[in-house]
Amino acid sequence: MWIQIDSATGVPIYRQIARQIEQAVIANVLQPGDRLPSVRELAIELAVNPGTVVKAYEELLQRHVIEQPRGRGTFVRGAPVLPEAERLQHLQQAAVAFAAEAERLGFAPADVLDALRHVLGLDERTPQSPGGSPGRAASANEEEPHAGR
Amino acid sequence: MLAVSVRDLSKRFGPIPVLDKISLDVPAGSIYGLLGVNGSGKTTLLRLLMGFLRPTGGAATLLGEPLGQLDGQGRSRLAYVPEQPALYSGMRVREVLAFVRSLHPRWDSQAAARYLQLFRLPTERRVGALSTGMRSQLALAIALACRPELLLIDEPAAGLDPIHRRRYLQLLLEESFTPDRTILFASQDLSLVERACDHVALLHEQHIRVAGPMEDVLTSEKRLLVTAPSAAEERLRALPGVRTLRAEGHGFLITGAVQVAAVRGLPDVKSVQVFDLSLDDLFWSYVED
Repeated sequence: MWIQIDSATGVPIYRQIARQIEQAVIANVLQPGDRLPSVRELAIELAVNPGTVVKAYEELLQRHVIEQPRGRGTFVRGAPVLPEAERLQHLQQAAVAFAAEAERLGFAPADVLDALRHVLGLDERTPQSPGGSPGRAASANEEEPHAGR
Repeated sequence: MLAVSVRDLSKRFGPIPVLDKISLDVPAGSIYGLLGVNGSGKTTLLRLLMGFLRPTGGAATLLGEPLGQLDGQGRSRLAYVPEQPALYSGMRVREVLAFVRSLHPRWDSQAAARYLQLFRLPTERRVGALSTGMRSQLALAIALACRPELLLIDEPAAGLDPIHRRRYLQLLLEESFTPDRTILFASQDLSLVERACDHVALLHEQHIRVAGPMEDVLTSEKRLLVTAPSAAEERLRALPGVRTLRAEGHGFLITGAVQVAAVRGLPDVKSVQVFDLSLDDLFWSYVED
């Protein structure tokens, strides 16, 4: 089993389990329709209290990552659907972290916005030449729209 | 339904108090972890429950019967795995099993064979030649093959390397799904208890400091990092629910069931950060001072 429990992190065990399943779904390691182990199977496999697995599954249900059609088991539903407030909060946190890092590096607000525009593909001052530069830079550019989404 | 109910139980060894009027409820079907440092009385409590020791005061019931009142039939509903199992070192593993089987009405031979296989215990080896880890695995296998309703274990998985420890825990958890089975174990291993148990009690200096469902125990208190001048100490200490308080950086670290708003409302408090308690934090907050 790929789920790893680390007692030293201070993160509750149920949350460690829920997060790792969620990450696997986001990374497409687990795909919609995939069957997850029963509470009993997963508790024994991971050597954790069954109540902990129940709690992890409850959290994943709330985030629409899994579904439990009546009595038929537990299945992957899809990537997490976050409540609007939580989505905004995540964006805000990421923005604060980005701004703080840019400030630490000594960039002016205009440079910071330019960098962001570039990442978002809104950069009009340096249009990409068709065919682009070969090798690493080109493939990195190709991946950016996915990473940014 | 309670598998174990302890009321004001005390035990002294001569002038030395080991347990002082402790009370504890172990719900049937739970996996209950009894935490405590060395010498905190965990083993004494288990031995009292098994009837190996007589209490100085108080009472307890096991599986509905008063302490010491379980007859032969009743006693076969209990199993105990001590930290250092007294097995017959001259016997081969196979012979020990045959011996226990002859004594025990509820013995399950099929299960015993399965456990031996799971632990890869050599049936022809003499018990005296087994490693410490193998001996504790054998003791668990024997206890489980007796199909107990209440299983008491002193320091489960002690002396096992990580792989064997995991297998030991997996078996314990698998067996916990058996209806009407209660597992009560004493341990000083915080991560083991946090991982395996749904209930926990902390035994320290002759008393139960905190006990209940793991979730309740972990959420009833918070840890607060408060930025405030040292002059604020008295006022903070006087807040209802403050259990421990110590100076930390430019302020104080508080543990307790404290109303965060009340802390924020104090005049010289500049900031308050609130943290959830881990079992580790909780344990140390009781044991350290």
